[in-house]
Amino acid sequence: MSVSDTVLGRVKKLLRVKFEIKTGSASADTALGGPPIGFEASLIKSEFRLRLNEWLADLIPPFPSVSWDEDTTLADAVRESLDSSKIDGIKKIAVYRAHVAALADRAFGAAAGQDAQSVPVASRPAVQEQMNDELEGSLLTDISLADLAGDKPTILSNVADRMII
Amino acid sequence: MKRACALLCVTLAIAASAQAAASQDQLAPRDRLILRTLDANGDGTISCEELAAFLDPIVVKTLRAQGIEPRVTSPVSACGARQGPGPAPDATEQRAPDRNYAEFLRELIRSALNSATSVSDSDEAVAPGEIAELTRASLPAPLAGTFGDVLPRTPGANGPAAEVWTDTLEKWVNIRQSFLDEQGIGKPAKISLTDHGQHDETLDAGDPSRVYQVKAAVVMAPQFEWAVSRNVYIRPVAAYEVDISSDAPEKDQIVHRMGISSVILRNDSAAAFSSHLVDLTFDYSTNRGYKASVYGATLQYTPNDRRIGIGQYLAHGALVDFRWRPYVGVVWSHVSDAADVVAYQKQKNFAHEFVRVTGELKVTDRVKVTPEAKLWHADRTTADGELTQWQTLRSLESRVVLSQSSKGVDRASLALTFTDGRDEPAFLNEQTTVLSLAVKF
Repeated sequence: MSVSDTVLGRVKKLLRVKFEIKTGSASADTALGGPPIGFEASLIKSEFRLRLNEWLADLIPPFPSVSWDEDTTLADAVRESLDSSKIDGIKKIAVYRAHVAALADRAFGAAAGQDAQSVPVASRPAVQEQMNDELEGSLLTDISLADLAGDKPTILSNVADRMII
Repeated sequence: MKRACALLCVTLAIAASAQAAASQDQLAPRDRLILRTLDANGDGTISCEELAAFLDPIVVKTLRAQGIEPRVTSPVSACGARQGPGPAPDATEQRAPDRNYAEFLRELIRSALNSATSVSDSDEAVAPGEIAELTRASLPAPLAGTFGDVLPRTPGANGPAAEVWTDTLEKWVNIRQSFLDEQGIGKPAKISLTDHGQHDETLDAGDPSRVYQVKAAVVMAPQFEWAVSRNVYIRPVAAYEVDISSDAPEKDQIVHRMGISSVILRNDSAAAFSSHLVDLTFDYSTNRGYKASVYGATLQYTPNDRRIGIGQYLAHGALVDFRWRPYVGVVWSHVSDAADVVAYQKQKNFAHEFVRVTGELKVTDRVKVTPEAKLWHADRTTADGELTQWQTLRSLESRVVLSQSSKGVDRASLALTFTDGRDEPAFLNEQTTVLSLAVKF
């Protein structure tokens, strides 16, 4: 129940989705060069940095370079990301929740229509797929069809719940 | 208010901890006692009703007094049915009881945390001073001990230390053995001192008995990057390289580089060669007295392909593991003034193409073996005309880490390096074994 844990979850998802790393044993203290990641410094400074920039684009301005190397831990990367965030007070869970709720609202409007107040059962698979794609970097677990049931505030609350630990 | 919030958090933490355990056998003795206290019907789990009965009514009352409504009329009713505005969901949209239960817990904790905002710019809900006060309070019967015994341990709760100037410097400056190693398995900069004893017969008469050697590069990377497109990123670089030995000024190589370092990223991160690294620098080479003048350029390319160990250990960092990196590149140079540097005296212009492969065999975190092989193709213009040569260089370095920082960063290591072959620009045959202390920051 903290923003650090939530962003750590997002970084671990990045490692799973983009780098095909099994992050079951990864924790905040896991080094980028250690198991189960094993990155080399140049990959950390180039490809990992750029894909992280894209993954956390809603939170941080892109890192033009980083001093991270194989000894840098996931917690270090998360802390540096949060410290450089362009959103005031993002370390407060209430601020972070408001931020992801806005993301969810925007994605919902794009997927279900700007004026939509609910999602018809038949449309839910398509809306689900589009929102999962749109929010891939900020969702910790995928949106389910059940999350799209009910009225718009309920749906947005369900989606926001999937974006916070 | 804060005390009530903290009490609520502690109560929920106890409940969540007990709920999370698969069986009572997995719980510590104290947690088993807590579970038995909460678990009124003794079925081994804590139901919503049992939790609600345990919650201090004062907490709920205090929360409401602060305008915080946990979306329920009573904690018990929250366990079974969803509350809140809007049309009631139909039967097919009813949530599972465990989902309601989880949401109920999350909502209560969130309300408690968000209501206590005495610590600005932080997600810590209760001030450290209030926690200190709470830790001394006794747990209600039949629980023994104090709240401090059950509060989570949070080392580092004082927050990260402020950034010092060396942290800022680290973002701008890298020190290693060579700029061209930056994109590879970066060998640390080397400073060595050799002292020949009185009975050393390998030392020729008149030669100095004490020799120092420096092989290091200071690389500056400004905090700026130009995103040409979603797939191409370019940033400026500058480097100062020194490769000198006190007893051999004719072999001096001091290089100043300015140029760009670029990354080309594929959209599909799982594809082969998921990114490409290209360095292009314009070079000015000289000797320690700045008498020699050689102008040129260097282009170097290396890819990343994690599936075959380029950029990532093959076993993702296991105790014994291996990774490698290939490079291709070309060095063009025009010798304006060779001064007393032997390598430049024999040529006017040269173009050296190369293929280089480096590897790293890791045996625990303390021992690393780094083989390297390089194939050169050299086209030169000399006093005797055009000349084409093929040359090779092989080296093997074994490094034992002597000292690591508190975070496990290698700071000092002892390296044994065997080198055999010819390297640019002189392509003199080298066959050496060197024991040196390596320092990396």
